[in-house]
Amino acid sequence: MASILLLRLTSFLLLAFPVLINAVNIVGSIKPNNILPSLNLIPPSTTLSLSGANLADSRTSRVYTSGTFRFQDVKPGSYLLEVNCKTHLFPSLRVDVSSDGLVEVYGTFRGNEWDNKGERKPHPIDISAVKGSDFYIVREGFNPMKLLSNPMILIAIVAIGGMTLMPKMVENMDPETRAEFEKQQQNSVLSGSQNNPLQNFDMAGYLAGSSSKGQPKSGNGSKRK
Amino acid sequence: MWLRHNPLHYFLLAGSLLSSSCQAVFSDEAFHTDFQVQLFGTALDPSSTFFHQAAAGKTGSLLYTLSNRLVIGAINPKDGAQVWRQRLGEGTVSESEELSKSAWIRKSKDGRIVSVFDSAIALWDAATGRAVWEYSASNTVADLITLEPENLLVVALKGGEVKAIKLESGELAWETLVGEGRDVASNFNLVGDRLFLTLSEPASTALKTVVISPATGAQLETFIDGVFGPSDAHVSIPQILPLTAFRDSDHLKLNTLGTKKTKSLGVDSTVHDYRLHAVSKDTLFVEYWARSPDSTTSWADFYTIKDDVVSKGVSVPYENAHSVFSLSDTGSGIFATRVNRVEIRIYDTESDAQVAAFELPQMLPAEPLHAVAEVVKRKDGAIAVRAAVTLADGNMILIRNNQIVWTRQEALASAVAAEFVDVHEVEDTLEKTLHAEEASNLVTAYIKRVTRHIEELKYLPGWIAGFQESILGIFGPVTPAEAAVSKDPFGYRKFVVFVTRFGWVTAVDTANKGEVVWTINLAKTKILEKDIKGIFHFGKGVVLVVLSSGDIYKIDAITGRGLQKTAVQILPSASVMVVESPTTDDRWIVAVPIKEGVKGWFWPDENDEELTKALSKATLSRRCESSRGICGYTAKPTVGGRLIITPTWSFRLPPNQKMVSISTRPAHDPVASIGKVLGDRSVMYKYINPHLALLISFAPSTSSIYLYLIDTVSGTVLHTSVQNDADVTRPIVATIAENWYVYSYYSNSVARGTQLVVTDLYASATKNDPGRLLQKNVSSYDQPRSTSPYGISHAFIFPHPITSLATTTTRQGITTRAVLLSVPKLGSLLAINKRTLEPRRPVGREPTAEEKEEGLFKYEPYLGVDHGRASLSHIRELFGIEKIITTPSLLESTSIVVGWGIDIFGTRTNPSEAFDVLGRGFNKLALIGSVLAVGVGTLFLRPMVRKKQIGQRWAQ
Repeated sequence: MASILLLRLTSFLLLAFPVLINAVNIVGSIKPNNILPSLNLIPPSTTLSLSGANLADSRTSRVYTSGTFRFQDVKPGSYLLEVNCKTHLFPSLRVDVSSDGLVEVYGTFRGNEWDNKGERKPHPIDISAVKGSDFYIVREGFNPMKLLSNPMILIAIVAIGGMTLMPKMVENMDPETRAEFEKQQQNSVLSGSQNNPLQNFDMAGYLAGSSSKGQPKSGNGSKRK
Repeated sequence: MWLRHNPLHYFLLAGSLLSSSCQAVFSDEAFHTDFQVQLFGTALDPSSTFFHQAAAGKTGSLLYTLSNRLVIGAINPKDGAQVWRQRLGEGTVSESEELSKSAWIRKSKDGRIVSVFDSAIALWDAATGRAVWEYSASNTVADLITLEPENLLVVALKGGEVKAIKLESGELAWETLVGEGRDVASNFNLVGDRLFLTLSEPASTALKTVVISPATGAQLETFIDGVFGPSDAHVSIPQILPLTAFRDSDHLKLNTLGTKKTKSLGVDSTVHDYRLHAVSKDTLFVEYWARSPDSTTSWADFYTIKDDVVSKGVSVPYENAHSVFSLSDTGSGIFATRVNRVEIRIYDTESDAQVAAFELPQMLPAEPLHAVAEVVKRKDGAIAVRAAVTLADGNMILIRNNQIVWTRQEALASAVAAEFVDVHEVEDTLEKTLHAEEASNLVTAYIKRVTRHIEELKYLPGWIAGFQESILGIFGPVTPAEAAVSKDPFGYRKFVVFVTRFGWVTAVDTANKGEVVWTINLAKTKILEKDIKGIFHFGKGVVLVVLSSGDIYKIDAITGRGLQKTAVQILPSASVMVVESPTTDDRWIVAVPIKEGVKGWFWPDENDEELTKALSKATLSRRCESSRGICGYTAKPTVGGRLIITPTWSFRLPPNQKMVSISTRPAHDPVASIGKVLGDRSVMYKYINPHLALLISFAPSTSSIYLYLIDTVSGTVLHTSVQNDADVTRPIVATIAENWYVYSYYSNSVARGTQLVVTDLYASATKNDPGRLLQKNVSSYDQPRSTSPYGISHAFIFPHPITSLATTTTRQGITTRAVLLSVPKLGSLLAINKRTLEPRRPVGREPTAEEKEEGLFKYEPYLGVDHGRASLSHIRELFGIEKIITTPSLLESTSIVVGWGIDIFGTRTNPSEAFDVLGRGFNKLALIGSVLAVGVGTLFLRPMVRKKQIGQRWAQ
């Protein structure tokens, strides 16, 4: 009787189900890395699924306390191995089991054509997390630093800085260049002010709440002089 | 080439592609706008519920349980909180009865738990719930036993194979076959160092016992003759006892293992059931229930086992009430705890008088089904007890002495139907009231308004409380105080009314973390999926529960009062649906029988004329007999609440096809825009038909699935499609709304995996062609050729099996829809925006500028949904969400989503972002702060500027 045959369990690749000689166990472990430093961080309900052509051939394994997993009695065929984990993402693998019990593991991804095999991986399988799941969007609050790094704001700051620093710089100039500069300025200002009535707009007065009637007066007055 | 890429790139690509179309949960809204009721299900069997120390050496124990939904886990007995959960397998509510025979959990060595479901064995760390190992046997497990000295778990399979598994590694130590595979194993007992396995031989209908050596698995001895009679059946017995138990029609027989000594106990014919308990190897405790038509009697007996002889000890007295027993030994003696609806009493092995009694503060809502208790006798002789009691309503309570410490609403895990009830609908909306006031004359309108204002004063305290809260809310999020009666301005508050298999109706509040609002009994002990015809929201906060038996329960869903119970003669095969009056608020339920010529029913039996009017325009459609298709009928009410049913059309599937499902558009499914404006300002007109039904069938022989889109008025098939290479054993689910449908199935084609297929239906293939959409009278009876829609489809590969599909609904239908998916492998409820599932996405090329303007982006076959960002349930782990139901809130942007099955998960979702309400991100503090800052700045600057101005004038 075949089932009385006692087969000792060998290290990794083993034939545990004596009636179906071809069925193999596929084993491996989840290796911690810097993305997933400890296996205690993944939820206990994390499973690995080995999906075959039909549901009866597919297997599921949990991640054991030792970090290992094990798919028992896998029949020959081509399978997709995935880690179903809530908190971390893992790469998917393609697992081929040949009829003589040979297990070949390849890297793969969903949407790939099935004939297109990826990089060969060793069996027993080692899988490490590639990314932690990100569930939330954090609302962006008010951030002064971010505001300051905005180029428009930077230009404005430079302009304001220039406006305030210019008179001081002018003061520090030697008299000849200063006179020349002032002359130049006056020319441009005069030509500008004549063309642009807004230039005379008394912004400070407006802000201080002095009546609009007063404004043109003061403007006219200064002109008259 | 792709494959050489780091998989991370792939994820990042998928993430970036979808960042625009995925709707993630805001971190400040998570756990506030959503709720989860974490459930196990109703404890299956008293031997699979126990207190157990989570880790060796630790004080304090956890309560472990195995439920009828195949969930195992640990509950903290102090507060009833869940410590961990694992699901052993899928199981429907209807199967729960059978499960106790194939699933159980046992204590094992070193604070571990061993679980069995059918042929799967697993060892769990009792503190964390992590698996230590799993083993799947070749046959159903009959029994197992932990042998501590040998460090082995010995498993007997039904066929007689016995396997010893090393506790540490899960590897096989030895295996043997008892009885050449013909016997059926049933029970292990450990006596000293001898392991007894009791088997029955189906051929000779006899029982036998085999002694197995624990170390090697060698079969040492076999006992058959002289012990068992031919008609004996095995009775499962605690493994700790040196006895095997079996029974014939009126005896319970106890055989001392390894001898021929048998004690026969007479069992009265009135005894309905009995249960054997033991906590030590020399005491057996048998509890009995007898049920006569008018009363239930319960009693129990102690037996002592000494020198292989079973002798009767004290008896716990008869009681004319249903009570359950639990036996416990916590070191201070063996005590039996008796629980009934009003009290807990403790008995010991010495006398038949109770040693302690605790009266419960109120009567339990239902009779206890079974209990596990721990009794402690303190040094001063005082007795303390805690008991976890599973009630007949499916819930579990924990009683400590005379107090009910907690109640877990485990019955909700066995819900068979659910329906939303609008709470705000009950109160007349302001709009309606104002219209009513306008319509009446001045004086009455004035009186009405004043009375309304007085009535509204009841909200004042709540409003003031809320005012304080909203001020505090400026300075950071506050947890809302337990609400006084307060208004729900956004309509977030809905009750979800569940019918559970235990015959109870329970409502939970979506605005209050899924708390149970009310629960009432339907006076039925068991309601399965097939026993319920439906639960219908009947307007104005009334729900109707219609059972196959014809019972109709009318329940006020706000207060939970039963309003009316009536019965009509519904045939079990009849289909029940709601008909609404097009003009008035009247509603009826109608039952359409399957048999031709048989009259149907309508209820309530009033306003016949209105119903005639309503039915004259409607076609009722239902599944044909034995689900062979859809049949359409017209109905006409006659006297006595009967309906004359006339078949009008039928759509029958070919004989090789089996029906999977029929989906119809949601009851509330407004279409805001009749067309879709394209980038070049032309319009694709939608195919809008309120009478769409999507029938999915499969042909097992050819592995194909077939989709038929049917007009339920005329019975016309509008659209069909076929998918070959489908795996029909895996879930096939669909949802239909507006002018599109989405379905999911597992494909074995080149692109293997779960596929999600979306089809949009348009009135015409050409742009700017509204078809007959703009005509005044569109009829389903028009020529089929002209009414058939133009469908565009795209299929996507989805990485995980989808077990349920639904779509969000909003008040006006302006908001983009999101397709909701239940993905059990991730324990998530995902939402995918319909914009992503868009069949007009360009294939194989980048979108043109016009297409970009329309919001289309390049089609990728892999729907690389970011599991994190797309998850409405975010980090929460959902168990067994089987159905998703949605309802609109009063805000157009927001849809309320509830998933149920085992857990209940509820949330609000804004598929197009919260455009009509200020979110939590709205910073009131910043707003007020900046206004104040500008104000203060002006105050400061004003004198300065004035001074400067004055100075300027003086200088001039």
